[in-house]
Amino acid sequence: MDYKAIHDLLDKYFEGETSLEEEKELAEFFQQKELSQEFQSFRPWFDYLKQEKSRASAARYSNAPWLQVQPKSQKPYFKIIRHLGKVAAAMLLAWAAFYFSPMNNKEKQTAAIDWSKYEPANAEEAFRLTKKALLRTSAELNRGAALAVKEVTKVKRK
Amino acid sequence: MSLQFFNTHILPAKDKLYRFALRVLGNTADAEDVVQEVFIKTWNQRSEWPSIRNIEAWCMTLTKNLSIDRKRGQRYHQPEEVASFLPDMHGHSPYQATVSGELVQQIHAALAQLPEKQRLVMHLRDIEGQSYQEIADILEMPLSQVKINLFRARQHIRETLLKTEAYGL
Repeated sequence: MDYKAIHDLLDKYFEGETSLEEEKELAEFFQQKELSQEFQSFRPWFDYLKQEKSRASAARYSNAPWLQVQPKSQKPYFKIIRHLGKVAAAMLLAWAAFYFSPMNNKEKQTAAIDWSKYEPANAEEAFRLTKKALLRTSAELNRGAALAVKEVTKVKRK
Repeated sequence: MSLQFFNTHILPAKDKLYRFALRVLGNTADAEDVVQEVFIKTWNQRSEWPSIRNIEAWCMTLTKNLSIDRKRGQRYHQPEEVASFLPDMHGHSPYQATVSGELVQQIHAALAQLPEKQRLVMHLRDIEGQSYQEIADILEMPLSQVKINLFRARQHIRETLLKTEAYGL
């Protein structure tokens, strides 16, 4: 027997580089009754592997009660209905998301305001509206100035 | 049809699943429970069998996950296996068998010291004879990790064996 080859194979094995075939070869080698002294220290490992491989479960499952439960037969049209339901639900969700989205509401609001109603009909009306707006602005400015004068006077008195 | 497939493709893996669960849990009763749970879950999901590429590897992954879950749930439970081990004489004299039995117990102890990943990779390779790719699929880890874990585990075993020889144990 080529002990050198076995030695190399053992080194390869412990480096984690052997193939399954080579590992099988090693296992067979270590099943011999008489082994060279140099390999004796590795024998327990291969004995252990052999023993572990033969461990078996004591349980029997071939007549287990849960195996007697037959699968529920589901008719093909149930599957189609289920898939259609999924598609319908997805579409409903997409429509609801679009309908209730704030962007959609803003667009609706923008479309509802008819700005043409507020356009002046002629030059006189435009002049009157502008004058009214300027007078209102002037009154507000005067009110602001009056308030400022009042506050300054109050500070001066103190 | 399902029952036939179960009997021909899944049930024959019973012992393999049992050994794998036992490797994680270290307790025969718990390992048997896990295997039964795996079979029940697999049977209940029989409508998905056609979409599973490798049903045995799928069962092994399920076994690993259920075993780890169970182990986490009973962290303080002591394993019984090392103490109950009896040497197998297979052709050796009683003296040799006793010595071999003691050494095998030391191997058990050395394996128990290994990190779980290394232990499981080594179990799948050296006891179940799985390919690296199958191990990677079962343990849900990259191929490179499988090789690294196997290398480290075997190095640890080699050191244990050589140390045992050096001290004349």
